[in-house]
Formats: sequence, structure tokens, C-alpha cells
Amino acid sequence: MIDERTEILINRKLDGELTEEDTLELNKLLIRNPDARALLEDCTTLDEQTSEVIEAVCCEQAERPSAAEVSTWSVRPFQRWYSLSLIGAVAAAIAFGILLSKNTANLVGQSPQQSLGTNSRLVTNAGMPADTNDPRGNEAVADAAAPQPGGLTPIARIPLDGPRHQTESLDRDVFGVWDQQSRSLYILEANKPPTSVESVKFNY
Amino acid sequence: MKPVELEVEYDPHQPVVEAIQAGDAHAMAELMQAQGRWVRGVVFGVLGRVAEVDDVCQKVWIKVWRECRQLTDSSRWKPWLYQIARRAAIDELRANRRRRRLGTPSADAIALADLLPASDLSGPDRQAGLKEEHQALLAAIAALPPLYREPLVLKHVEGWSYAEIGEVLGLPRDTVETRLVRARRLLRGALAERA
Repeated sequence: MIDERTEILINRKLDGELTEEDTLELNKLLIRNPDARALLEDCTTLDEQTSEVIEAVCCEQAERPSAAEVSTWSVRPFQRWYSLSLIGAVAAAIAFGILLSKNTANLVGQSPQQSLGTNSRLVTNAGMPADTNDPRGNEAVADAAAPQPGGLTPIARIPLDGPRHQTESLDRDVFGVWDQQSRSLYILEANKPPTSVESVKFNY
Repeated sequence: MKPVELEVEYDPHQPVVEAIQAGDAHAMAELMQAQGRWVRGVVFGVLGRVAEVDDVCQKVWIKVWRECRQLTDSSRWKPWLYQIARRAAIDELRANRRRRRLGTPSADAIALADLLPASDLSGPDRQAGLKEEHQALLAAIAALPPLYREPLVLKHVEGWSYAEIGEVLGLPRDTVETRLVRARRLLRGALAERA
């Protein structure tokens, strides 16, 4: 009968891990116990065969790549992803630029009313008196009743909230877009090429 | 003043790893030559199959080349390399789980027959007997749980001490010893059953 301590000492002997005390203890066990001697012999044989098998598996002379072949591994996934993301970013920027230019052309070329949302009102300053401090009070923007001498017809009357009066003198033909939601008035220059359109924002 | 002797642990492979991090392909080939055996041992220890060891090792070295800069402390290159090899072998296990047939000693027997050198001291009958014995042992090793197979393979591949195996596997020395004892016990039992 082999106890665990004997088995451990035999394993340490096979692995070269015996201390001096372990060696003395194992020698005494081997002298007294024939089963221990048989186990040591079996384990030694098994260990040799195990080494042969594992050696055959691990020391197979697979073709090792040369330094030149190793350098071909340098197409790293990081570089590949970086290139793809860069191309994607450039393509997105180009697409955005095209979309933006189309929208700008649409804003200039279309009738102003067509580009407005439901919360917006169109006003024009063509033929407007310079002083908008109108005695009519809050209705300080051009009346929509009659066409003005400038050719551009005001489309809507814009009531202003609160006692605000704004005087602005412009020497260009412009039209304004009122955004009800943000309560902002956008002044756009009319009948000009897209590159010279200027948007001016007034917060009321 | 009395001179003091300092013990400095010098790892000859650390400069090689640092050269690889700098992009030296020759250093990479040198590391593969020097460390290829035990990397194969780790892969076989996890996989338990001979036929797939080559492919997995190839993936390991490619990954080492590509991710070497992620190793911040070059002195810890051995555990880092072990983790790469172990993970690659586990990935292969998972990928092949469905395709692998249960208990396929035939595939491994063919692979082993190609690997073992012919004995020049024995006739054809004894040679066949030797190979058959090794096939049985290989099957028994493959049947071991990876928990026991890994330290056993590392022990036989490189002859490392319990402490060195523990450093790579991230285990205490006593645990390595215990697992080796149990691995040999299981092998003896498996071979006794076959006999």
C-alpha cells in the first residue's frame, strides 16, 4: 500500500525537487517498502515514455518563418481599421459638404415661402420706411395690405411680443424669415448668388 | 569597504522582446526559435490534440508580433506569451467543439506516427508495438483534464522547476506539485485499464 506522502516523494525525485531531508526519508521508505520500489520503477518508466511522446509533439521541426516573412505580418489590424475609418470620415465630410451646398442653393433659388416651416412668416423690407418705430405699436413690420414700390410684396404681418422697437437701415434688398419657435428673425439677402448670402440673426 | 555581491537576475530574452517591440523581425524569428518548444507544449497542453498544434502556434506568433507593444513590462514577457498561447488554444477548442468527433485517436495516431523517429534497434514488430504504446499514452495524455495536462507538458518539454511552471501558469509551487502528482496518477490508472 502506497500512501500519499510516498507518492509525493517519488514525484519529487522524478522532477529533481527533493531536498536533503526528502531524500533521506524516501531512501528509508524504499528500503522498507517493496511496493514503493515498484512504484518508483513504474513511474520512472512512465515518465520516460511521457517525455518521448511530448517531445515528439513539441519538438516537431515545423517550418519556422524567416525574418523576411515575419515582416510581412506587419499589416496590423490597427492600421487597417485606421485606414478604413479615415476613408469613412473623408467620405462623410464630402457627402455632408454636397448636402450643405444643395440645401444652400435651394434656399436661395426657391421662393422664400417654400423654404419656410409652418411656424415661420416672411417679411420684406423692400419699400419699408427706415424707421420701424411705427405709431401703430407692436405691428412694426410692413403691412401685408399693399405691394411696395420695391417690387417685393410683403407676405405677412408680424406681430411682435412686447414693447420692442428695432430700427435698422439696410442698403440691400433683403427678406426676413421669422421663426416662431425660437422667436428669431433671420434676414436674408434676396436675388443674389448663393456665395454671397448672408444670414443675420436677431433675437427678439 | 567590503565589496557587496549583488545577485541580479538576468533574462537573456528580455532584450529580444524589446527589439521585437521596436519592430525587429530578426528578433522575432529568434524568439520563435528559442521559445517555440514550450509554446507548442502550452498549446498541446490545452488542446490535447496534436493535429491542430501547428495552426494554433502560427496564430500565436502572429498575435505576438502584432500585439507586442501592448506589453508594458518587458520583464513579464513569459507569462504574457503564455496567456496568448493559452487563449489561442482555448479559442481553437471552442471553434472545433462542434466539428470534433468524440475520441479521435486515429487522427492523432497518424500525426504521432509521422512525428516519432523509427527505432533502429528493433524489428518491425517491436516498432509497431512501441508506436502502439505511445499512441495509448498520447490518448491518455489527451484525456487528462487541461488542469493537469498543462503542468505535465511544461514539465516534460522544458524541464522547468515547480516554481518556474508556477510563474508561467500563475500558480503557487505547491499547487503545481499537486497537479503533477495527480496527472501521473491518472496516467497510471488509464494505462492500467487499457492493459
